[in-house]
Amino acid sequence: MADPTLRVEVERRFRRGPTIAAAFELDLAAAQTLVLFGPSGSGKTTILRCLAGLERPDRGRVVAREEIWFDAAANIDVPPQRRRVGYLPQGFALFPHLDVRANIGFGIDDGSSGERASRVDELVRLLRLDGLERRRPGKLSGGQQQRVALARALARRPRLLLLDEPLSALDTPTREALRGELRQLLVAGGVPAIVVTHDRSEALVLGDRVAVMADGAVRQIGSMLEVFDRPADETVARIVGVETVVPGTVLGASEGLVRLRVGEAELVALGEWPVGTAVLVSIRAEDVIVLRETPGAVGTLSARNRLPGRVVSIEPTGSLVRARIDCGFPLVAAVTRPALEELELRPGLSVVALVKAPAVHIIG
Amino acid sequence: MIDWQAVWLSVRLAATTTAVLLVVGMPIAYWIARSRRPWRPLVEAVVALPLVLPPTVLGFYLLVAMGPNGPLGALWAGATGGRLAFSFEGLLVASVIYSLPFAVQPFSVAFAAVDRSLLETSWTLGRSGPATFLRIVVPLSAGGILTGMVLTFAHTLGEFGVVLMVGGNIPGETRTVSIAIYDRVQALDYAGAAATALPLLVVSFAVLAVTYALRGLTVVPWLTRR
Repeated sequence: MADPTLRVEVERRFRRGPTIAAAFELDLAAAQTLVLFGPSGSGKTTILRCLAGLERPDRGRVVAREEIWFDAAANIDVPPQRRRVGYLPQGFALFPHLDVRANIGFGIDDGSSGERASRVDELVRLLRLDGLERRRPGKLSGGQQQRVALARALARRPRLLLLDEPLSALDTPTREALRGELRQLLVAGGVPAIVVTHDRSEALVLGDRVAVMADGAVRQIGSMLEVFDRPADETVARIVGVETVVPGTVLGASEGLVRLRVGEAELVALGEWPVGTAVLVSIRAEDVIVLRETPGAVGTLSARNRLPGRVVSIEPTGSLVRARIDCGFPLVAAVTRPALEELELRPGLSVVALVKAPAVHIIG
Repeated sequence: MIDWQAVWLSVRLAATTTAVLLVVGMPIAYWIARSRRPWRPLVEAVVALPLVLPPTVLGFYLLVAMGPNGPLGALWAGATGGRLAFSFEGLLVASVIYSLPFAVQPFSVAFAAVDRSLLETSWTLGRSGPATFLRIVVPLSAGGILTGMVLTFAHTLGEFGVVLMVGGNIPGETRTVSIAIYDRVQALDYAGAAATALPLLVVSFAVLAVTYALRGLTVVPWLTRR
């Protein structure tokens, strides 16, 4: 049994542009989805194209299941035709002169014509395209186009799916509606996938694992929760959207707990750090509880961090409201609209912010 | 009164030139549309040269090249034992070169308009470069290919200067319609010139009208996407 790992270590230099240098591994046996996540210009698409064989790296190696796809030193560059990957570029690139059936069947080159037809039928059913078989792509909605593109990619039984911003071509309501659907289709397809996105909610919904890219490099790779809850450094923390990232100093440590000075305040977090270490502290806005300061109302609390402060500003973002609180350092809390009204939050109000110790993440 | 022999020769020359340029012009056009080599402008300039050169200049160089001592003429003589200048084959070579931009430029514009991501997707779906060209590029460029073919046909039909220089005026071999008309006018036979000129005008107009009508019909379904 061959080692079912995709090993990527590539470097691509652009003249008068950035250098993309990424290294990561993906277990292809698990049929998981890896999200390449990062701001635009961080090199996500370049990596995807290098994997598809559409772009030639300047250095490095790409090995899939012990089969060398690319090796700069040995001058090996397997052409896209022989890599058996399903590639979905931005905008899907459906063939506009072919109908849905012809698009799906385009890459099937084995078996009799009867077998090819039944393979197309199978995909039409899997991706719920019944009744649309004779339509041209121009007569399909964005979501239908996406399903056709997925069907076409799956038709060749690819060993790996590569999706470049699969939802960005759709308008916002469709995009939000299709996130969950795409996830289900990827699971149903049973093929390992690498999905490029710059959208945090897309990344969270679509991926089992995430690789965060910044400035042409993979900064952190891990399970979704691992990366979003435990960003490896400040850049990753900013990219994955941990709202509060502030510097602090370790004051003391005992029994797996550390006390930190952060701005004017003191925080308790999990971990073991030498006293005096300068660290970064990240707290997700969702992990902050806001309490109205009412004398005598608070009983005993499990939350270790009780931070009196003053509301600086209130910013609505979708269904959540982001409250900036000055509690010795700037802290962002996300609260729902009903909570905002019940608490009568407004700038200048005195509040107490509660944060459990495990939600305070220390980046060394 | 109509010089049917000349009309038939012109149509034969135009059709053969169009067929040759379809085969020769498409790879050149595809290269121009896709290449990023620094010397691409040089190739483009060579292809476009017949647009600006007087036919007599082009005809002169072709005549020299096709003469018994010229490189083309010697090659031809070595291969077939025959003479290239003042023959139908020589005329065909000259027409192909003279009409090159009329085929290559519309082809190239159409090829360049085909979204690169369609080609890349086809490659990842296992289709080779030539297969992708035939299954994706050609159908999506049908309008431009048709335009190039019609322009080539019409342009060759009306060719005069180059024909005169390299073909001369041999009935059934190199005497095309335009030469025949010129010949009649020189002989002050205006009625004969008019009789031969009219079919040329009618055929040219009919070909262009039918083409534009066809193009309007066939191209629309996939050019009006989204």
